[in-house]
Amino acid sequence: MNYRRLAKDWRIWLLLVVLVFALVGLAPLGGAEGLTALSFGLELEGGTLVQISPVGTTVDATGFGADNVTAVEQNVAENVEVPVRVSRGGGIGAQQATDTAQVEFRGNVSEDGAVSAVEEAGYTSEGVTDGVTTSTLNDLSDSIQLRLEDRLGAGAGLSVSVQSNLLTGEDFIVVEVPGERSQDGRVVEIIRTQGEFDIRVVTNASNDTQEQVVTGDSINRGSVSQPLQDQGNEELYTVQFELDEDGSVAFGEAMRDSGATQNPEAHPPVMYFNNEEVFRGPLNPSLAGSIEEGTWGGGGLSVTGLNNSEAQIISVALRSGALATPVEVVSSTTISARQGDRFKQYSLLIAFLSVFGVGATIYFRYRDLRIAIPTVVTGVAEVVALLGFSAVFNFNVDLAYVAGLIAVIGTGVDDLIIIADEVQESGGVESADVYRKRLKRALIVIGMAATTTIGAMLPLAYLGLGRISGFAIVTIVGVLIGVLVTRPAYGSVLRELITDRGD
Amino acid sequence: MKLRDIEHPTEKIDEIEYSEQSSKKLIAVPFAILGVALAVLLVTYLLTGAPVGLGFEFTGGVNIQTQTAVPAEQIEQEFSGIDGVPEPSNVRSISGGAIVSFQPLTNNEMSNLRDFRDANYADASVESVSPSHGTSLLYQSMGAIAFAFVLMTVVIFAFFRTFVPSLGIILSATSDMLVPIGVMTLLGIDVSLGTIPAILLIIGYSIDSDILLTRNTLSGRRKQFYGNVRNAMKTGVTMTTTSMAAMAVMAISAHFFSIFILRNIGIILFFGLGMDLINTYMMNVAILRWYVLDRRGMR
Repeated sequence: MNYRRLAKDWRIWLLLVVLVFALVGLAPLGGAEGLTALSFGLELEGGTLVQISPVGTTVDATGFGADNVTAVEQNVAENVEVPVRVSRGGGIGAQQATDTAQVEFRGNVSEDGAVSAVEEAGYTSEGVTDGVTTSTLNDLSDSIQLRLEDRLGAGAGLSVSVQSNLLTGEDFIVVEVPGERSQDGRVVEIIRTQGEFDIRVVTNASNDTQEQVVTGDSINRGSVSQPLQDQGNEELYTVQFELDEDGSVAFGEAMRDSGATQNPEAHPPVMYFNNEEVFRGPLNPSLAGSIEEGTWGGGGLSVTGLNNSEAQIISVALRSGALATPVEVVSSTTISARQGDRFKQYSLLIAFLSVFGVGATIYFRYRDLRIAIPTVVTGVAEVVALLGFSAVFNFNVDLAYVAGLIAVIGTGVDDLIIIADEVQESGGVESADVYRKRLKRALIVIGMAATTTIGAMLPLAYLGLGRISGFAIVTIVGVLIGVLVTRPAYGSVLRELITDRGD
Repeated sequence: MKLRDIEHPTEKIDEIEYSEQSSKKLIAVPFAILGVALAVLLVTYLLTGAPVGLGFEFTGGVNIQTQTAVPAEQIEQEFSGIDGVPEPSNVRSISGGAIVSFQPLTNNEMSNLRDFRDANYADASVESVSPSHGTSLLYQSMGAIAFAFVLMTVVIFAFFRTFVPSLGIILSATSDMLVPIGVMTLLGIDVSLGTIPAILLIIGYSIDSDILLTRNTLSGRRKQFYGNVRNAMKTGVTMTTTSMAAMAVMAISAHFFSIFILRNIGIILFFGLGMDLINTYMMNVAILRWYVLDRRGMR
């Protein structure tokens, strides 16, 4: 064996560099839990995954004439049973030169029904899509995140993301809550059911007797602001929101009846979220005055003098009272941590057994450890490189991933067999030249097969069919690592082993 | 001992003297098997309205996999009497637990079922898919398979630039994909989301022995046709049987561990690869023999 020639071979060095990077990537640095930096998916870690689809229909419309956004919303809403939102490019209410806007029906309306509602209002429909606008989608996603953080705690490690299907154009909100909690069913319930928000007022200051004023239903959807920093004092924040008409009337009456307008300090309004107090503070004297005199027009209110975290909580509470549109749970999966743990061990064992099966078959075929050992070692190197890649790029290891890994070992070994057979063909290999020619021939066949495999897997990786896209991505990356890194190196090692044999 | 069994096909197929076999005979076997598989799919279609059994991910519904030693009969009883939840459509025993299936449930029914699970079977996994989403997944999966098929066709034709051998490879890959689906239907295993990548991977797996054979016979000397076939076969059969060994190990061990996605992928690839042996070394050899020898007037 000519070690010096091997040490000069760039293919060997490339493999070593890749392996070192993979091992560094896998090392449990930076506070990673467990033995490696690999992160495991739901199936192997336990947890809950919920896929939600917003219910709504959006019409691209034009021909508004002099009507502003509010007028359009009202005119269209008269023809349907669900709330209607109009958004124009350049912000709501902006008077645009281009007279087009998206009319969004927030609820279950057929595409035909939406178009005719727009047309009955005297506008022109330019196209209709099933689903809501991007901004509504992001808004929903934020609300769900806030709602879950409020109930499960911000440390639950939950993730909420918007995923679009490129083929069908469907949009989903995907919620993933890892690990196990006492009641897994709660996650779906929290998403599906609204948080209960209400405002009460202290009627008797001495024993803190309170009376309900309005509930979350009276808060106008979409009117709640993010925490706004005060201009004078950067440590103070304000949250603004609007009550609907009935809510405003009820609020005004309750403030007068409780005595809050006469003595604001003794009768502060109190806000509750899921029956927990989140804010208590007196009416501003000028607001109290205008309610008392009956000059308050209703609507907008602000909660002021909050610190940042209080403002966040109140904004959460006000917003998560209701989601912008109804949602449909299209799929949900809950895996217990115990099952995840079992599956993790078992799939590791299955992968190990499969590699052993491959190694044994190779040995029985060649009866030559000089071929069997490098083949198995190369197979293992491919797995290490692939795992390192997954750790660095934060791929979740799940069952589909394990299946893909085993498949990669399978195709990888197939290719090693092609190399071994080609270079051994018709007896010994005397010169490096003959060897190079044969290796090249083998690599061409391997390249063709790899291209076909990648071609077959691309649609899956591209579509992102939920959990199984992991399989496609692992296979593609594995095939690429194999073709570009490990298999050329294997060829070089084999050259030293075979050309040295002298038979 | 088992591993020796796996080696047997190598020896048996090695013994075939191709020059003595008629093309008709060589082509008849793979087509007969494909015919049987298609007949199974057709009969299933006529009986059930779908050529294959579809898993709950495609039809919509709820699946619960328990992790206890409680016998299936008792589980069936307990899951049948949950307040506000319809009776399960199917309960079957698996190693280390049971699988309880429900038809699609409403939000409230689902919520009741989750409460029951949280209280009594906290270790069980619950998966639920709405029917409309299931249909969407099914169409996407079919689209992925169709798209993959087109990509494969383009790649193969681009590589070989000869019509008949390329067509042979594509025919072989198609048959490799259809036969395991027939086998699954016979075994009563539903096609689920997890089996789609396996069906697609058959393309990648089965194609390398085809490519090896086609390349060896097309680029080699015509006089050495049978020798070229033999060389390609020696390598190809080793490759395919090695992969089959890996897949058999995966399928069998995953079955005992009740990890069905791994088991189903193993089964599909095992039968796909087995079919590929037959297709490649019978049908494709016959096609290539015609293309390389007969077509040019030499035998």
